[in-house]
Amino acid sequence: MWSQLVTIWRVFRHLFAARDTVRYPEQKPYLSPRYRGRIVLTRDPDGDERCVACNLCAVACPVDCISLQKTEDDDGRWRPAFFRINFSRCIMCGLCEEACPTYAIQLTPDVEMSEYDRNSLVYEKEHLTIDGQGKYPGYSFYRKAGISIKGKAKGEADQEEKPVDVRNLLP
Amino acid sequence: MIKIFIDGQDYKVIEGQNLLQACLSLKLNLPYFCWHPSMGSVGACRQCAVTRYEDEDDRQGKIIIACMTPVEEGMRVSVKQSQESEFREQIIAAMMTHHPHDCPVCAEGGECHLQDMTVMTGHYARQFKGRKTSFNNQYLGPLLKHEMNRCITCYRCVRFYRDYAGGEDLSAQASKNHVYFGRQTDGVLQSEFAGNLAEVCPTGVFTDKPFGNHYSRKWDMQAAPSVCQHCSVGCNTSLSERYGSVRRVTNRFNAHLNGYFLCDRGRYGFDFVNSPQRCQQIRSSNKPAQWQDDSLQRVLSAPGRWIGIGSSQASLEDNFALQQLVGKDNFCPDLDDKQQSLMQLHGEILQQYPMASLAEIERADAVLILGEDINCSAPRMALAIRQALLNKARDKVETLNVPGWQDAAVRNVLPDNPVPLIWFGYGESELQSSAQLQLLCDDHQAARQGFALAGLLCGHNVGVEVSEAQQQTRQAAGILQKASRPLLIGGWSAGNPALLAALANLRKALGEKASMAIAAPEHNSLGLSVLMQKGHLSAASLEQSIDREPVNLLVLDYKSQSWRTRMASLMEKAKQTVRLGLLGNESAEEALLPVAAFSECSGSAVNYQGRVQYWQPASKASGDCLPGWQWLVHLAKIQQKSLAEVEDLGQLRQRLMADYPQLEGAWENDPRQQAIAQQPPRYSGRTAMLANQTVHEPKPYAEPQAPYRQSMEGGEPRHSETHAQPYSWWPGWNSNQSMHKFQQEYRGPELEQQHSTVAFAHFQSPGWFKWRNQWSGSKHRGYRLLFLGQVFGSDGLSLEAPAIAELCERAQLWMRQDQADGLGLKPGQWVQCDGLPLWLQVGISKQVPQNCLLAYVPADEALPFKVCEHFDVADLPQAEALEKQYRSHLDDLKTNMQMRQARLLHQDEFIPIRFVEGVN
Repeated sequence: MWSQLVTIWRVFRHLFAARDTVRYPEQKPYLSPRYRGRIVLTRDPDGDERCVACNLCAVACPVDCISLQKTEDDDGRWRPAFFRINFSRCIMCGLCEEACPTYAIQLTPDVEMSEYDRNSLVYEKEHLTIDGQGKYPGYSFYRKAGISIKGKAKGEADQEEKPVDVRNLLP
Repeated sequence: MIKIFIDGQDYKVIEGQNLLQACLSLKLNLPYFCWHPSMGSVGACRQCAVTRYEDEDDRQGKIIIACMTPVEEGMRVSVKQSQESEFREQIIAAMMTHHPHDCPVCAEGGECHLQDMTVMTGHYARQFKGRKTSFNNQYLGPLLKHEMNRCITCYRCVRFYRDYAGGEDLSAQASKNHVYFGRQTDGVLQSEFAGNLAEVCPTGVFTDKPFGNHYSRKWDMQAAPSVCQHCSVGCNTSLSERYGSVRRVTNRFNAHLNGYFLCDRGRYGFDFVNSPQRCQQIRSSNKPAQWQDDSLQRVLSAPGRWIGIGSSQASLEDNFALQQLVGKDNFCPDLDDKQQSLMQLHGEILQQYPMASLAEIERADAVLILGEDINCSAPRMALAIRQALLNKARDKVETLNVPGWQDAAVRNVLPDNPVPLIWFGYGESELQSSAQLQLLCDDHQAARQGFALAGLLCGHNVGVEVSEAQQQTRQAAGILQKASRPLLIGGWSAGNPALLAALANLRKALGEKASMAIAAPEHNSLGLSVLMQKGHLSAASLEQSIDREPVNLLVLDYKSQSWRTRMASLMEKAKQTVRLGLLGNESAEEALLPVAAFSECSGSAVNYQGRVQYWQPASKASGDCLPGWQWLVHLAKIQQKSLAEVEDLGQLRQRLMADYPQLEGAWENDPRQQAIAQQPPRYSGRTAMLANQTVHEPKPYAEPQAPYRQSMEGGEPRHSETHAQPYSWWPGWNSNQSMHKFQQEYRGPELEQQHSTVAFAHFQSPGWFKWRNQWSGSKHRGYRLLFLGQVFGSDGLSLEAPAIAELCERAQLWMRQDQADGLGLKPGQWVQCDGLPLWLQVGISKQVPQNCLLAYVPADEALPFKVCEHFDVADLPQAEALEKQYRSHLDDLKTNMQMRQARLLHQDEFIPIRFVEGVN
């Protein structure tokens, strides 16, 4: 009997408590930058695409909703010829972001992705690429990698010696 | 078998192996780099360290290198203790100090032996804070990409390229951490086995360039067990597909044939399946048509005699279906009677003697090559012959109590212990230059000497007087008699059946100790030879019938330009022609039915030994393409022939077995066995790759009763004991080195899945072949032209692959210096023979027989003459015009390659999704 009264009292008290829910969509809750929402492709500090089409995001994806094809341009960089995410399958798990060796693919706090047509949830590269560096400013994969690209010859990467002269006999 | 203890447990292992081999055969994970099952041990990388203990009480032990240690009875080692594990991790750590941060942009990533071994040793954090060494790369031709920064100096590349394959232009340069593996200067790698470096290199220094241009990770590719289509050896390959296009060919281990290596024609030639020249549409009178069109149906149902022309480049099933449709008396296997007689003779010989597999070739201790340029007609066989040349050196080191896998020791004693190689023939080649005994002669002479040699060996005349034998022939007789496992090599490339007969006689004269191998030109030449056992129509009587009565021609077409020229003249006379075409859309026939390439349907071929091998489709056919036999079944329905009852490939094969009982058991397909998934377990992008066309994920395509499925649904190949592996993978072993997990013994006998049937029963008692008069050369004026092949250029199909087309040489005419002086020609000049419109470039060679010249013409040009008298030299403007033409040809190739690349990339994005349920 007593416990029932206490329960009724507690429920009654809730009538005057502050609300936890917000008036979405007029009011928006705070989502931290590392929240896992819509996926973007970022650019490196020089404004070039960060994605090198290594396929690691695609293989990490548990629902297999990322597909892409590598191509190589005249400047020696690897790029995706197309890069597609089927958001109608995506579960926003963030494993692609963890797998990405170049910080190209990142999840953003944008979660508002409802569509009436599933086809509209298929995002191609031009829909995914943003103009900024996202959460990891300053990182450029090709500054660290050993391959040469236009504007960075052999030996010009960070922590790299000048190329060896094979015909030199000096120690 | 002896007993050894590894980590306290006892194992039975085969004596004579090294410890690394033994561990891998036991399926234990032991990291290694420089050791290779085909190349022996050198102990360069120090990676396979293990601890060896003196006896049971020894707790300390000492570290030894497993690949340099022979297994011994009662040996005690550990591979998992901390001492050796830390040692191995330190070795990897040292290798990784200068390894670049490249994995995401490296074409080896995902199938990299270095990645696998690094994970296996547990090394994960870099301790070295200094700067990394860097190297400039070299241009190595259209087949391989060079990225020297990634090198870990295991020396496998030079050991393969120089020691195993006999190449000379790749070498190790400089010293210490400046060691560089490359050429003296940039340039195309000369060896026709260079492509193997992509698989031999444990990391990404040498990678497959055409594959890199249209790249996909190994885990993403749907693979299929396949058979190479570019020569009669029939090497086993693995085809990989992604987004509807075939990406690459890799080696698939076969203990009898290719082992661990392929030639570059096989590795890169497959690309014809992606050619823009592929027939994709039904055509009627050179206009696109539909199957239901009246005009097409009229052509296909025409009354009168139908003659079928088979093709040695089409599968056994396609040719058999054609034979069934038109009847055996209307089935013409080849347009050249000489080829037909070679087919017949090769078949006859196969009924008397078995032919040596490449593994048996590698065991020979004396070799005779009779009138065949084996380097061009069957490059992989030439590589096997090269390995046989080491056998005396191996025997020598074993008498000195050094095991034969100690590669450095074998190479050391090699110069003093050569295996005798006897060369009767013409033309320069790698094997010719290493021959101990040579006789320069044309094919007639070579055949006569072969007969005389057989006479010398058996002591009586076998068709040619023994007195004809030349001095070299007498020496050869001595060598062959002394040898315990002599090997006889010949082939069809001279187009002379007498050479085959001579080999068969030699085989009989030498008896059971000898083995023999005869190279045929195409991958299914012997398949036609099987079908010819039931009777056939000769090319001569085909021409007669065409002149006599109205004939409908039904052509299986996969052939070269010279074949097309001959075909064109027949088509003019025939009433109408139906072509089952693979390549070339524009042509004059009444109806063209596009056929699926070998990568898109299942089929079988019979190799030079008579071994029946079949392949599986890696991708789906696009456009209107259907397998050749299916078109023929549709035709049979129209023409109301009994072939119409065939519903699937299994039924067609049943009929084939009923007609040719020796093929019984060639296709083992137990429907109770679980089908194998061709997509690896990590195949990615399934719910996105078609999403731009439809978000309703289509049901995966599955051919009923097929033993393989083009999806992830089905058994994992590594657990299957009955199906050939579509790709080689094992947990922790992502590269092709995972092969050892499937073998009983590393480099051991055949895989369980690779049983095979030989299409020729050895029932006839061997007799002597008599010399026939038509084999003697006829008298002619001027010079006789002997044809030489080239690895890149003589095979018409592979020329459709852009990388091979880039390497294709121009037509050439070789002569001796004295001949050139007599004719007033200089090397490098362009000449025409007897006014015919083909220009050949003059070259000087010592290997040209009397009264002959050597000629090479690429398969996409035709050479209609066999003798020639007059030579017209191109004057300066003509020569310049030729140069200009060639340069523009090269430019065209480049533009075509770019267009093709763009087309393929577009196709990746919008996958042609025929055969997928729910979508059109």
